[in-house]
Amino acid sequence: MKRKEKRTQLRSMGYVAPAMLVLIFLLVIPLFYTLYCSLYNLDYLVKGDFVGLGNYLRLLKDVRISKSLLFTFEITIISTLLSVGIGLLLALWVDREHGLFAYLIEMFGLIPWVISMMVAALLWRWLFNGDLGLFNMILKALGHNPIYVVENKNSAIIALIFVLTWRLVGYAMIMILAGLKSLDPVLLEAAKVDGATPWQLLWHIKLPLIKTQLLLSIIVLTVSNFTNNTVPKVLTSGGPNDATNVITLFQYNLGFRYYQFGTSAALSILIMLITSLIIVLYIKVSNYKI
Amino acid sequence: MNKTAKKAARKTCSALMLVVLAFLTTLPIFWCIITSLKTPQDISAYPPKVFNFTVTWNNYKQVFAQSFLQTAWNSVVYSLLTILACLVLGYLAAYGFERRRFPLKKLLFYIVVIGIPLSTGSSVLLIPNYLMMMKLHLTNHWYTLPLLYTAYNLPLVIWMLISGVRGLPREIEEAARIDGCSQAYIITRIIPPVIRPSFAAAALFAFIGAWNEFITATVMVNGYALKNIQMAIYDYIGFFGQEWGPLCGAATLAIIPILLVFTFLGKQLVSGLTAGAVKG
Amino acid sequence: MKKVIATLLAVLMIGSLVACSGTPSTNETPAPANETKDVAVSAGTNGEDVTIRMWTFLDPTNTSNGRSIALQKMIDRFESENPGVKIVVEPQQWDTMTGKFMAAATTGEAPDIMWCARDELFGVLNAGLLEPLENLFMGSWTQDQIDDVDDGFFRFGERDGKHYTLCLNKNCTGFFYREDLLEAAGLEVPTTFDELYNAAQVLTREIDGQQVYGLGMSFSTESNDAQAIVNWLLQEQGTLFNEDGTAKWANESGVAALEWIKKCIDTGVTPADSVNKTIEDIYTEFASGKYAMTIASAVRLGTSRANASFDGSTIQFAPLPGGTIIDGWFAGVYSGSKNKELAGKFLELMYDNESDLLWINDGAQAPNRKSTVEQITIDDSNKYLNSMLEAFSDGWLPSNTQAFVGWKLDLNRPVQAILTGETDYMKALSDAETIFNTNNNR
Repeated sequence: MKRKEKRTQLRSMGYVAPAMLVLIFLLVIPLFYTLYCSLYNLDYLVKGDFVGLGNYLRLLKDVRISKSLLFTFEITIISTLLSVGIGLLLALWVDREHGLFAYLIEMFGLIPWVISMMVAALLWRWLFNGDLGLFNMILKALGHNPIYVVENKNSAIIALIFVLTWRLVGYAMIMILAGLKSLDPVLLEAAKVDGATPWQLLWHIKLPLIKTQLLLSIIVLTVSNFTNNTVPKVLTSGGPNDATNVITLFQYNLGFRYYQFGTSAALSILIMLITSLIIVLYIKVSNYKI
Repeated sequence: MNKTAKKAARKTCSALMLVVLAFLTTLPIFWCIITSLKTPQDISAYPPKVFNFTVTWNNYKQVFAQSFLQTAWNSVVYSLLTILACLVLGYLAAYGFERRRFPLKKLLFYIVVIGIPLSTGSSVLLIPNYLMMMKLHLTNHWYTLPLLYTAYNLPLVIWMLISGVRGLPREIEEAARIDGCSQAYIITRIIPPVIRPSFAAAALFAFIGAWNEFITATVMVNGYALKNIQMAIYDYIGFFGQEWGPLCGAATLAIIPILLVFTFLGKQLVSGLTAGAVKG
Repeated sequence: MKKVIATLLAVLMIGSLVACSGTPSTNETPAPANETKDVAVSAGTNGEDVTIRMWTFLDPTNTSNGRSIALQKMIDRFESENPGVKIVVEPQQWDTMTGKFMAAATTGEAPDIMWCARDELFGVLNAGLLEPLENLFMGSWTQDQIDDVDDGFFRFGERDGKHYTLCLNKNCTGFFYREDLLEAAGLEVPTTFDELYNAAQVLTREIDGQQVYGLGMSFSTESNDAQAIVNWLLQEQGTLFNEDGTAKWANESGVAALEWIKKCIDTGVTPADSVNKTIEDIYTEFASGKYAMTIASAVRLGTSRANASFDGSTIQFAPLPGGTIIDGWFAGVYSGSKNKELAGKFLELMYDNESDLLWINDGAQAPNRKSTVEQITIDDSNKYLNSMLEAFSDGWLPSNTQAFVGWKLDLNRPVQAILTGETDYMKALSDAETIFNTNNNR
């Protein structure tokens, strides 16, 4: 009997084995390899001395790294909350509408997510250009002085948050909408009959029930924004004066600009650790059962 | 009377909001499309020309004169292979995680979950991946990019399909088993049709991931025969400058398939996610 | 059971770790120089198909780019002269391709011919990834032939008396000016920083309702070479680095340079938004007529003329005051290549007199060889060639005995720092020094 159970369990494992092999091969092994690299001096990809945690110490000592990490957390949190907030509003809106109109909202909302983000960031940079951009052309038509968006510290940060938010609003919308659509109409009707105001309905019934979808979109968005280096690189080039220098841009430059692949690997490990922590936290908070 | 007026006002308001939404979300695409129709001189014009320019098709001619069609075809193949592999592997894994018990389940599941950032374009593992793939002579093949894209998108696909399978009552399976269906039949014939929307949603996610990927592609493959469509776009951001016209032309062309797919499968996306969300 | 599988998994992971761990240390991949020689040549002559792979950022199938057209013609000539040999260009992203080459070389997958970026050449040579050209074709060159190509670029590819590269796409940073605007204002082409500032001031005015600025500059830290400050530093101290390879920026010359830049911004001859502009922004804006003069790369003159919304033929190029930084792509033969002889042969062909004329005529480039200079006629339309040749002969390159990476971008940092008003001048410069020194392990 025991033997048979073992055989069944092994057979059960066969279901996940193919996918897990792919993931172990292309995710876990490179991760361990990165860990290994991070312990060496690997300038120009030429293996040098074993430095132990030296690369990590160097990173932790660098004030620019901690500044950049803090900044990355800030914009990640802000743009994620904005995306999810606006996404929630859009989802509630779509949920109320029907047919073609609802479909149009969905489609327009999703467009920023489905197009290549490097092209999008490049175009936004151009649209924000002080003299040649559409944004300032409109401002001028309204009688306003031009704003040099990516050349000014505060506006560069705002622009970065804007584009990050813009990119994932549709994603959040669709995730949350899925939650709203799955709500039991009978339950909502009953609440209405009991005299619940639309606000109460939202706050006490709908939101608690779509908690999982909200959390899932928050996590995916957080991780996506945290590891996004394309948008900062293209939109604001990390500037001015490091004002928008996110941590992944730092990591990329350590590798491809300074050829310090050991230190770059150490930073990769730190970034992976942080994102993994965020995700594990989500699993715990949402009580996801597996 | 009051009610109809209110209704009309609401409708107008909704329509206005839709216009604002459409404006904000499509602004870059709009700019991309009109730039692709301009001459270099009109592109550089000050103040910027929004409508008052002479339309030229030269940028598109230039795009097609190069290897664009080849790269577009490559991207179609890569995306289809990625979707296929993601769905088959992802579905099996999702079924296993949701319906079966086996050793190390938790650990394996956490590996899946930690892999989710990969699908969001994280490039932190790029260099180790490159070195390893090269060592094993896996770079520069037709399967190089689909393999990587499958690995990148698989975690999210598994996650979505777990929700899909979870939303399916166990009674269906049990009933089928009582009717004498084999396990293989249940897995291949009974369940997939029921959770088809989940498949569609997962496929769309994998498609977006594979179609828009750029950084891995520039590193992993060389030569026209293997380039993907995004690389064809970035060819116009060269050492000798950005050629805005053809760049925008190629980018516009690359968006069209995505919009087509979404127009036809968009409905499935929402219902697919919904189906999975019942107990998610 | 659980334990067994856990152990298996752990073994698998460790095993793979060990398997991969050799990767970074395989810089000894390069085979001895003469080993493959005979094989390669006989393969070519026997009529068996040999493929020579080359990495560059040029795409020879691009029929709208003059340099690509020139390259395709060279490939055609080589292939007709060497039946059975095929040149395959694998176009790469220019900013990451040298790093990718180093990575590819660790497993022997690197191309036969590589175009290396200037600042990365040290790392490439240090890893022994290039074959001395003396082992290939240069051994049989006469002194005259060597003299014909001998210049700063050539010597930059030299190590221990051997030459490893030939420089293609020679380039230098200077400034574009609109000749008609200078003439209308009665100005000569400026040759000192004072003259440059004064000219910029005169040229800053409104033309047909558009605000035109005197001098365009860009200081993005993701953009290309630092502007103005490097020329100042070179003018004052002749170099950017100390003997030991550390940065030599935080001093009076550096401060004077920053003050000059600040003056340009404060008086509005350079717009304030230059602080985070990339050089690409500047080219786009210059084409729109926003600037009368702008700091720019010589190799971009052709595209700027073609894209200008005004009469492009009025754009000319001149070197900046102070010292000029020169740059180029350093093409060499991969030391682990199986067809070094043939690869060398093609490299030599890309650099011969006939090809040089193609680079010049189709690609609008400056001559690579001294002997070619006499074969071209310089008139008003291509008088920028004179300025380029002048810059090439007395331009500055970093030493090739040490690694110098990131400096051209790091030097934008102090400019951004003082323009955002966050630090004083000396602090800004020493911060940049620290970043450079740390990243170069000094």
